[in-house]
Amino acid sequence: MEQEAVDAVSLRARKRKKGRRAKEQIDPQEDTALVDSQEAKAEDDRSITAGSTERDNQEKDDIPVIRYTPVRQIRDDIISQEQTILVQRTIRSGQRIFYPGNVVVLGDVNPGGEVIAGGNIIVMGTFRGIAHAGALGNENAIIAALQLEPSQLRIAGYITRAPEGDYASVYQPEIARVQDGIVIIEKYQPGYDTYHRGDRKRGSING
Amino acid sequence: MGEVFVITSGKGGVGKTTTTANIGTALAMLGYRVVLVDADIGLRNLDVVMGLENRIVYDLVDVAHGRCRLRQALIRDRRFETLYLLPAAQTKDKNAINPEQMKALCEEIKKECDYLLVDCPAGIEQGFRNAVAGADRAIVVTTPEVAAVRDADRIIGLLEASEIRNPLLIINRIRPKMVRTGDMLDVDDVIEHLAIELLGIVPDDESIIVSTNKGEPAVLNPHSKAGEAYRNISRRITGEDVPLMNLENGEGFMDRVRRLLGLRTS
Repeated sequence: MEQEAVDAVSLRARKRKKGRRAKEQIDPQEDTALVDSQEAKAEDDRSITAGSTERDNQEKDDIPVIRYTPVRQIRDDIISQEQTILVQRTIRSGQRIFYPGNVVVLGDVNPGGEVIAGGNIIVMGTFRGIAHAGALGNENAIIAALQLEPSQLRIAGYITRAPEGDYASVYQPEIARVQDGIVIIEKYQPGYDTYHRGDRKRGSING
Repeated sequence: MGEVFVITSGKGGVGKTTTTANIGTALAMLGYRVVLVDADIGLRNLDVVMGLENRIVYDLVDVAHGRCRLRQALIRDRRFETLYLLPAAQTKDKNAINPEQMKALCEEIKKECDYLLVDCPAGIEQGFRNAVAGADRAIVVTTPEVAAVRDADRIIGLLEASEIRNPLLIINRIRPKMVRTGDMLDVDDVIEHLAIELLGIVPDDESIIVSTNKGEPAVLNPHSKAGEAYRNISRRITGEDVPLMNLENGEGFMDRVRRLLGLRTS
């Protein structure tokens, strides 16, 4: 049942992307081949996701709005070119989201809920469940949440769990990644190059 | 070679999981090697009650399907070295395993422990059949309520059909005051109706709620009345002869003050 729901969400996400693609053609040439899927091309070659349909409509009325930067110019800053799904609901205990690309959850993930992604995981809410980013082996994957209180974090083959007992909650967005063989959690700073610090294993991005 | 106990009740919410956690912990306190198996696939709770939720990587379904070794899935308790938990899967349902797999699993585990306690899910369907498949003995938990006793009766019949003879009875959540005033079934009423051997009685105790939320079984709390009851039950399981707890002595400090002041006579 969950799987169906995810498929529906994924469809919705794809539809939206297609609508936007029509507005601005971009170079579908891709040198990073993390995802084999042909569909992954071009559709995800977009760096900024702030635009919505309403904004696109407003643009016609000569109101200056956010413009998309063509991918070529910011290629260095792209951390993932995998397909992404948006899940707009709360992931509750016993529910599991699995997707080979990135997963963005617009909601909370409760204890006992699992989000497993081949790519990165971003939760626009409180994360209290189990996250497995880079589940297909990508050690550069990250897990970010507005509030990160996971029972377990797994990135590729690395695993970490919450400390025992009561510990003070941090009410700030945080980001988890692998550094020197351990999973670390740090404060999320907009624009800060979390992804490329340490070993740059995905050299192909610069291609 | 260990003994496999299934802890079951039929009705939900009577305290199967709490009982499993407490008896298991108490047996480990006595130095026995204990493995707790959560058979409530899809609605696991034993890990939370034991405070081991964060450590789950593999679960019972993974072991049953050969996706990992048993050793990888067993979680050692953080307080007792001889206490292990095999957690249930949360994202699957009861049909993810079958009684044969459960039986094989219990056979494998009991070679290396003294007591294997299986926490059975509520109900009498697949989950129940899985949980009892590998059991040598059964502990039936009930509360002094007509509905719970009726379900316990049904369960005892099903256990007999599964060739698990002589189940033991735990009567949980007894409120001495209500029994005294005749508002609650008393221990004798329940035993008379179910006609099985009584393993122990456990008073209703608010400390259970606190300890369950904290992930620390009540038997670790020397002041908890229910904890004491579970410690007694564990000693009975090991063959010791322990008299039933006297619940009438359970008056609190304020009760004593009131009595001394002559405000209440009971």
